[in-house]
Amino acid sequence: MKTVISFDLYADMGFLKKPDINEKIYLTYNMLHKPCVLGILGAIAGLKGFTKNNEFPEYYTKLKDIPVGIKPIGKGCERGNFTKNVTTYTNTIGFANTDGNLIVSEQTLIHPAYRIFLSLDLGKEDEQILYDHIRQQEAVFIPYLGKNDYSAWWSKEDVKDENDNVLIQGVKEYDILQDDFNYDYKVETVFIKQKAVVESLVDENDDDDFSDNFQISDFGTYVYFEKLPTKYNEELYQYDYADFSLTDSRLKAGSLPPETLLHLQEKKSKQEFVVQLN
Amino acid sequence: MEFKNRVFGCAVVKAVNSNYNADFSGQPRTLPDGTVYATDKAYKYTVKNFFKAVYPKETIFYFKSLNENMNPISLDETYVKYFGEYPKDKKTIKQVVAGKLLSCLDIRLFGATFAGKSINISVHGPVQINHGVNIWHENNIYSEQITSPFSNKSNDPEAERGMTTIGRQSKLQEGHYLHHFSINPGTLSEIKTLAGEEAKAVSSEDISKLRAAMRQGATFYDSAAKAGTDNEILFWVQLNDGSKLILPAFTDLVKALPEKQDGKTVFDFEKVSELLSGFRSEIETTELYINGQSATAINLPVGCTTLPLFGNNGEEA
Repeated sequence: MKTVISFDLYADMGFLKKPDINEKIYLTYNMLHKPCVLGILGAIAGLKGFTKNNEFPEYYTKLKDIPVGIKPIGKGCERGNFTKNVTTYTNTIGFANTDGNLIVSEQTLIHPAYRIFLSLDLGKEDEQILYDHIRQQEAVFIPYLGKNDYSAWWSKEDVKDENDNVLIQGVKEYDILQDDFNYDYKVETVFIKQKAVVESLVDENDDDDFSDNFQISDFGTYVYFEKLPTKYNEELYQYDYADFSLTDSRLKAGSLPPETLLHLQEKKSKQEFVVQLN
Repeated sequence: MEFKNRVFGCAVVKAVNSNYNADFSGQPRTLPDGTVYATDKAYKYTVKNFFKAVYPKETIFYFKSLNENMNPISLDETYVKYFGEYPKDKKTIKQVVAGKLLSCLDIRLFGATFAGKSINISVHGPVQINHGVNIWHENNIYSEQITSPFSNKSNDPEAERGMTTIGRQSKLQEGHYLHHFSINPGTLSEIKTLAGEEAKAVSSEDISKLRAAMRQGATFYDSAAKAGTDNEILFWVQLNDGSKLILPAFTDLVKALPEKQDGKTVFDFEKVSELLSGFRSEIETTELYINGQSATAINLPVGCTTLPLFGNNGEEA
């Protein structure tokens, strides 16, 4: 049986390392991405991590097919962006280098928080364990956001203030509604943009049907872009990437392939929205 | 006895006219919004420094040691210093080195990234300490000029030697850094399997030593910049054996009230109590170690034992 759940992951700080720079300064992705989510899920389920070179860890081989959707949330999130700070460390112990003190600068996310949507197949043992642990706010290993100095957590139930405003949303479950997406819609999560926007503007005169890109029908306040890892390339042992977007604008019908979209309805509040799981 | 329980908690380090953790300009570290913070390394240093001085029989591996020329020694040299040459047998080297690493108190607690010449081992430590964020309502950093007693023109024999060198130092007027931490002894299970039967796990005795260091390490460490930096609170929530509960960081939950009471800083645990009341069946003990001379705590969770921060507390062997 397939079920869709969401949980809100919080941390005081986070560091989601970009592998493309390894000197002077280490940079972070702004958005949580699927390979990182899978690691966090592995910690929750208690699966083994990386142990050997050229061998994918237990968590990755078992969980990689779970469709994942991500939405940035929380007080640190401004139009999809989190504030970042550069922290500089020294390592004077002398273990990491031989020619004096090692100095490392690291870009850090401040107050990162993400709503993570998962489509779980409860017929599979690992996904059933994951489902139980997430709903009970339990994890075999304590999850963290990129570095173990930044522990991460979620809440199983809504945390409210005295005026009944929800401060932290708990774990939610959703029904999937039948939908062919032949109308203009908003997408709550980050989604894969198939083609550069500039190209589609040029193509407009060529009577293109724009089936491989999104078009905005109703402008909101922002459109956010980031190139993010989608999975590991299992031959090259490196990330495979896609261009992701996030917007509060309404997209024209047919902007995104309908098979990647889900029309969800929260089981209790009956609230409906559209997400993309990848 | 092996320690198996999961622990969540927070440690508050107080800094008055002091510089607990400086950045590269010599000022206390700040976030983009001006909030002062400290890295986890600053706190861990106080803990390891305490271990080194108070428990001389324990091996503290990840700590600077110097050779005869006063230069830090390398990872491989440190291994040889404590455990002798690496084993020659390629088949058992990983097992032997893993066992040796686990015999070090700091590695059993904080883990290790061991990248030696002949072997790489990574140990995920049970104790994870987060960055400390100042929860005091002010972040007043001030700088002062200081003079050195020596001439600033010593390289030029012809020059008039009328001046001495001027430098600056920066300090924080008052701050209360809160470090969230967690302990999950389960993270060692894999490396223990690798290291074999005799390998050491985290014991209750290790945890007592850790608690003693986390209570007193910052006060114990006095340098010119860190005089005025003291431990203030250690809050310890120990879950039942086998509980896999995850709790949020206490950074936003513990409040330092802006008004002092009789000169003591007041820490409000209301939100922590609210949070813990939902998980009472999962919690074994809740303890608050507090420096009663400088701080008081209000709205503590039900069943929380309050103990003095300093001294033996009857827990150490």
